[in-house]
Amino acid sequence: MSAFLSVRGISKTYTAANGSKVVALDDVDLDVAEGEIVALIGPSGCGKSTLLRMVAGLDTDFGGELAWTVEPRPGKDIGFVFQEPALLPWRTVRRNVSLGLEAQGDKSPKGRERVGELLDLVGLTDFAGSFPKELSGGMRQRAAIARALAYDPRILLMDEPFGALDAITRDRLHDDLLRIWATTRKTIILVTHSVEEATYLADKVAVMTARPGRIKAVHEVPLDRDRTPRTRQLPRFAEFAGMLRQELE
Amino acid sequence: MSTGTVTRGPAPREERDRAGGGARARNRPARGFAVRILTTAAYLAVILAAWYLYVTLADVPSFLLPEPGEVWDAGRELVTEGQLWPHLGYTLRNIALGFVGGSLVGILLGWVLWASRTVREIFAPYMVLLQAAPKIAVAPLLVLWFGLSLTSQYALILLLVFFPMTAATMLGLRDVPADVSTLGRLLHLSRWRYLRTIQLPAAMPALLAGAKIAVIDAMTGAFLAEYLSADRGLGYLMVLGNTQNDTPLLIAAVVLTVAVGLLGFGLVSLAERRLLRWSR
Repeated sequence: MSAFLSVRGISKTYTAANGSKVVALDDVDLDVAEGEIVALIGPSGCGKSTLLRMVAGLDTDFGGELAWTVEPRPGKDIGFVFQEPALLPWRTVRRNVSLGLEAQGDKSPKGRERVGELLDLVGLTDFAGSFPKELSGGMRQRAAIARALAYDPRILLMDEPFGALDAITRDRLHDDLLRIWATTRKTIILVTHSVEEATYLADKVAVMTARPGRIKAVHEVPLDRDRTPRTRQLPRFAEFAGMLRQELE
Repeated sequence: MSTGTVTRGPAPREERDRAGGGARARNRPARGFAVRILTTAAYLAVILAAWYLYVTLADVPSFLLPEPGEVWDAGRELVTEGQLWPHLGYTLRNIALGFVGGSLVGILLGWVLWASRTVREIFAPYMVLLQAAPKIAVAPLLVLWFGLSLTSQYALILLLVFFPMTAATMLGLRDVPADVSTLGRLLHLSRWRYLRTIQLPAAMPALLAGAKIAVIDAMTGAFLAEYLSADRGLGYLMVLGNTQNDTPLLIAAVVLTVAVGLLGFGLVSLAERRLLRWSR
């Protein structure tokens, strides 16, 4: 796997409302390889979402360097999934998913085909003409993932994408995401606060600590890439998740 | 793939529900429409009966309150003498132009006030002043400045219409959730495209709520302007009925005014049903 993104010495300090300086991120290093799924895990306030927003280009006010092998083109190379689906309620599922293509003025049959494939991949083909209101929470989040992938970005950034879902739906979406990854081989950075989620999905887990936000350790997940619900029952799964949990304490 | 099948499980049921809902929805307006017509007719019948009974039983003189039949005759006379359409058309045109123009000005101003904090802070006191002042009170001033002309009429209508639209626009543009506006930045949407694809649709519920107020205000403005300064229109008919002691004509004009009001409100409601289909 080749290098894709190197985060080098990223720091960010901001001034709180009461005038005191808060160190949000302190000298953060992280390497992300092409096609890799990297989980950022840590307590709230450790700056994991801030780091993700920097990678997305939404926050440019920081020290240090984001070194890409190929600089992402604005509006084309970053797919982003929020904790909430953030769909446009007045658009059908299909028109929500194709929003990114529309923004680029891409009306090619290839783009349309891709939207169709993605809808199929997330199991929403039958709901392409429905409004978001008519979908369940899990289906909405699937639509949001399809939207983030529709314009074929080079990296998918996910900010606690399953945090607002119930446990059963969350497990299903984990498998959906793995299936999507198997088809698209996208590089994914996933912010989460669940050790099980990080273990099940990621190739590599970066454990962060709060105040100041630092990366405490980066671990390779000792599991095969092919993961099924059975994987969750492996002793190695429990062992690794337990180790992560201890590191977070 | 297992999750795919699990999630598809409930899907057909939901779809069937939606399809059933569609069929029902198709029947519902038809029946709802019939019920609404009947209810309206019943209300009208009660009003007319009460009116008629009161006038005959209490022996009210015709110059104070004529019986419904006389008003009907006055209305018919307007039609047969070919007076109705010029007057009605004049008023409707003024309302339509004033409403559209005022809405455009209002939306534009609302957008500017939303977009620029500086402008908002500078204009805030003026907005409060305009909101608090009874705009009807400035009507004589407008006549003084612009004369007995169309200009003063439009000025009054615009003044009444733009404010609710400005307020609605400012409220509506704030209705874009933080994540959606972040999405707009991620997709690198131009300002114009962002306005068109995200802000305006998001603001639509607020805009339509504002339009409901604005359309009534446009009518108030139009009638008032005609009342004060015109030689045409429904407002003028009222003045005519009043000065000629033609009470049936006066009441016929009032009834027409109410009908126009209902029409305007109904049109905005219709637009709302079509444009906000997604929220129902």
